[in-house]
Amino acid sequence: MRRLLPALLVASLLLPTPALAREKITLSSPSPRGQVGGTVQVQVDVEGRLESAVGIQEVTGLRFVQSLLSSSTVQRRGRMVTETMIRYDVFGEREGTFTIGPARAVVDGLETRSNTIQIEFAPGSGPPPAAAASGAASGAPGASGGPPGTVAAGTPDTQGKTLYARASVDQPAPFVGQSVLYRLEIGAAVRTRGLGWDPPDFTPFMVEPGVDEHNDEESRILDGRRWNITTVDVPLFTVQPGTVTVPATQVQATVMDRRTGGFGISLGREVGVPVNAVPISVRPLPTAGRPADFDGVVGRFKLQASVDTDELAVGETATLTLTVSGRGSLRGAKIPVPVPDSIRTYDETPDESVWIAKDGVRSRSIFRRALVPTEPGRIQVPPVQLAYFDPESGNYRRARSAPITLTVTGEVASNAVSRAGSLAAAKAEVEVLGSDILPLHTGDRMLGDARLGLGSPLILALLLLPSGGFLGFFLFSARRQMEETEGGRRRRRRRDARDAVGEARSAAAAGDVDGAEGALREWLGARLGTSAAALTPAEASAAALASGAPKALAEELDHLLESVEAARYGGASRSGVAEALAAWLDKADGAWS
Amino acid sequence: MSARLALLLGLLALLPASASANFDCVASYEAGRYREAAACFDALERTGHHNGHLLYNEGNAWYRAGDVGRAVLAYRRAQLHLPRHGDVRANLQSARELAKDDLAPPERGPLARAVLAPYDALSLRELLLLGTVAWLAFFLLATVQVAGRAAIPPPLLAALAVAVVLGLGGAASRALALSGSPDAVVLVSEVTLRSGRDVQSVDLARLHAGAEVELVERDESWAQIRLSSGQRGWLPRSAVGLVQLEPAEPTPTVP
Repeated sequence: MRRLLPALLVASLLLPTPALAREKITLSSPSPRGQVGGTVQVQVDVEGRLESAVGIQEVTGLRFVQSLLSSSTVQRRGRMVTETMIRYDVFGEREGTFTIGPARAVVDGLETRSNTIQIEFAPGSGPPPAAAASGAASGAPGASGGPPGTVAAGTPDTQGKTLYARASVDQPAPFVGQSVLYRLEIGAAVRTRGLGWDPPDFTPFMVEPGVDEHNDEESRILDGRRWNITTVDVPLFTVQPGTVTVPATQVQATVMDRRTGGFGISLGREVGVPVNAVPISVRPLPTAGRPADFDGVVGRFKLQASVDTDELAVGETATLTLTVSGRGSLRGAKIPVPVPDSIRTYDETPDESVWIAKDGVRSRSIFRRALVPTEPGRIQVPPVQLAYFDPESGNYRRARSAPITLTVTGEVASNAVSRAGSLAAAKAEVEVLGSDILPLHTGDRMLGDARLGLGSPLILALLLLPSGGFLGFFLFSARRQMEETEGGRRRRRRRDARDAVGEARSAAAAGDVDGAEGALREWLGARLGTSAAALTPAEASAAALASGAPKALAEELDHLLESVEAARYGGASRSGVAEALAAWLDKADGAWS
Repeated sequence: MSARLALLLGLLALLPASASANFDCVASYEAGRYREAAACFDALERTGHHNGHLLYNEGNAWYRAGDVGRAVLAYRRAQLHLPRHGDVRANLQSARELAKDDLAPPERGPLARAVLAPYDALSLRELLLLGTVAWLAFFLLATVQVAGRAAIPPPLLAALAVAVVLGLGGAASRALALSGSPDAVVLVSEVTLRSGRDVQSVDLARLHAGAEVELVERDESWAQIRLSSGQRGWLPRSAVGLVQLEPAEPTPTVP
């Protein structure tokens, strides 16, 4: 056992992990429940290069129809990865719960299998849908979404039929970049109306832009009957190698029966005619012999070059016209013009046209360049070349134009070059090569908490302190202003008077005659609204009387102040004077309103 | 070991832990381990570093890792902190171009956008600071005015009052919006928008990673969202990430 352990460990490290292989292909269903007679969608997602067809074991009671196939290249973990998605419509022919999968395929060279899923069909209300059009109209065998691989070719099978539809391609094994014509042929031996079709999803092919579907109609005799044949050609452009199937589709038509509904009006019957799927094996372009300047152009082309004038002066413009035409697509073709340094060039947007001819897709592109010589002399523009791949011969070829000679007169031009004619403003558009995001923000700015909330202590302090301070200051100012008013002064005097009474009582308790007199005079001053410190006893009494004090009170005040002066200056007894002053204050505070 | 290396290691040892984690995240990114870098930036945020630059970097890492949804979410969250930063705006635009759905992100009408342009141009922090400083200045000048020390021009006080309203009111409004009904971004590769809170309800639409929607309400398992077209529907709550200042549920670790 001890000897086996290292071997087992090494083996476990070397052997591919099944889990990794399983992750490359995933089976799923966005909505795994349906009703008998209806459909449930099942989807297979493949991450990586799909090198075989995807196989799912048949399940009794279910019928699989492939409805969508798409492939794209995305960026994952910093690298480009191919993702393929295949969608099936699964028809439930009976109720129950079914296990689907695993799906199997070869992905990136490895036999890979997916997970399994369960789908469920509940009892439905209607019968399962019909597999093909009813009555005398029926499509080619294997149609209606059956197994791919049925390619319509040669004379169509018309025995016992009044309608047929079949699809084919002119190039079942094209190269990458080659144009392919998808042809739908619809034959009708009866009168029809409203012929239409649902174009299938051509992904990953691109439908050639700027070229409309080409429709053609003719009559032909097949199996002794006259047939009206309608063909619809769709130009496709192949973008990546691999075997891809253009899925099955359907043609709809209204067949005009001989039955009438009365008054001689013919009745029509809606029929659907299935169209077969078409597999296409796209081959990669060979690497052997590929020119360095090959730009992906596939087809067979010729190149012509001409100038509007070959004799001109320095600074004048000659227009070089390059015409590339032939079979195939010139999508993205660029034609560099090698001119000497003494010629400045200005490009115009090329004139491109693509159309469907009897032998397939044809293109023509016209490139115009303004040539402005800056030096005199005989200047030769070398032959212009276009490297392309010829799918018929399987070789790379070159289309070449003849060389062009310009005779330029005049003197050497300055740096300012004159631009004339219709190409005066011909500036080349900036060629965008790609796009990317801006780089990381590094350093300490990634650190720290930039959040700040209303509950932050700093914010609360900054909000409360100034408002609190302002409120306090405002109240203080308001109070001061109130005290400057008549009412405020009155209140202050009353306060002073109350304080004086208290002081007098304290002084009386202590036998302090001077203190009691001072408090009395302060009280008097508060009541009179003026200082009473210097008033004589008679003046104080008169002032009190004038202010509304009772006469007896005023006379007693005079007497009391006289006795204070007698005690202070005349040597009279001080005993009881302070108490008498305090008693008078108490009396006066209550009696003098 | 050379003296220089020893010195470098010594300096690194003195660095606070978060600064060295900062280097780790950037190193992972530069080594091409983008998911690891994204998880690292996310973890750094959860240790208390909440700022626009960190979120911007996280967005870059998710973008490079091919996760459009999380990239858009990170850039949108970065914009909360850095609403005027050109880098954030540019990279968000790049991420939006990768999103499958042709769906305009939720935004105001042209009139509201024009009127609220100053408000939208400021982050929550900036609004709060603006309002607080204006508040401080307002009461300082008001105190001077009440004390009779100087005559403060009324337009100045009025301008400060406006700044207080814009700042503090705007901050309160922004905080309420972020906590109540923030925007959301679809994080999963594909999700079905349904008419109700269960898988049996009608399928309304299919959304893909990076789609930006408006959150209307949510519960533990479901979130009701509104598209820019006005259509409403329900999604599993785990399918969307919220554009808010706080980080959401932890993002998946590197497989």
